[in-house]
Amino acid sequence: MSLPLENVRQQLLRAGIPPRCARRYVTELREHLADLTERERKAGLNATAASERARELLGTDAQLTQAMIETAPRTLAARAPWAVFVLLPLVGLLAVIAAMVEFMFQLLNPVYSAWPGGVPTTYVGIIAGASFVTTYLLGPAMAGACIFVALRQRLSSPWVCIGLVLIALASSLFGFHMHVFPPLGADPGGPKFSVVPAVYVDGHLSAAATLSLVAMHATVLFAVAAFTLHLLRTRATREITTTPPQVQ
Amino acid sequence: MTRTTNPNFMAGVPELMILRLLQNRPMYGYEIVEAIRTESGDVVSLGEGVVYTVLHALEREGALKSHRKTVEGRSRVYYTLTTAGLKRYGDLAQNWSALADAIRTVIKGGRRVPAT
Repeated sequence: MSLPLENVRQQLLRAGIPPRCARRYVTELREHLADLTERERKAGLNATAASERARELLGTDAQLTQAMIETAPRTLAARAPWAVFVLLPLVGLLAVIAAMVEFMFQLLNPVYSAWPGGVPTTYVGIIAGASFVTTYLLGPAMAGACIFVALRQRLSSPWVCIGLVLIALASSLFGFHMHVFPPLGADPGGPKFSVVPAVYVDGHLSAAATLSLVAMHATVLFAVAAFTLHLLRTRATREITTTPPQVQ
Repeated sequence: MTRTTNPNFMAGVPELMILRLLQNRPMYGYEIVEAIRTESGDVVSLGEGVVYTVLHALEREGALKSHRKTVEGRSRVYYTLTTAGLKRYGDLAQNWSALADAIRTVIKGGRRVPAT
């Protein structure tokens, strides 16, 4: 059974009130309702009548929601969904790739010094790991974060879907790829970085992935993300509409 | 039956009364609504649920601080006045006193303006 005033909390979240503010407001209202109920019972009403009277005194759902909406701040996701669901994930994605490049570059000099004859397999493994993370994990992680925010704040803005499409595309197009050419003594060659289409083809990194592979990667990621969002949103809606409010 | 609250011209009054009450001791929402009703002789009646939006707004502005405390087995959020809240109360009280004096003067017939 849902707690009393759950409807108020849901409406506040849909209006873009920060979840923490909405939860605290409703918690205090529930405590106030309990105090009012107790007062009415002491005044001689039976449990049901006291509960109904207390609920009347507290105000209607619409009054309580409106009062909070007029005064409370809105979340950034409600005020600027384009920033939270599009700009932030794209900048984040590129920032992580850039940080990965910087980290690997910084790591390269000590590796060259310690192993002048060639690059150890551990370092090659780190390169492969970094490539795998940027190519296959970063996109889903960004999409997951967007879904989490959208569900937590009950947002149904079209920017959520636009964001998921762009995350799928960007994470399919951009990845981290690095070549190191031994032997280092005669001709060190140096590291080569590329932040270009990078997908695994037959277990090997291909810096020149075909458009169809990028499209397939993006489509799969978007489909999974959109399905997950739809599923979780439907489940949350069903939980709210099927549970009657608990009578105090 | 729903309790009728005061109309729009009362804007700012709940804030003033809350700040005044919290000068005495920390209080929780229900207690504040009851105290306002009692101390104003039922003239000022805050919407039961609406008091929290005023409290939260005052807290965001730094006029109040809150903490959760369990008293007699019930956990409640208590509000305390801050130094900024005290100063704010002083300013508000001064404005309202000036306004009340002006209204009282007008009701009594106003200042006699010499005929020209």
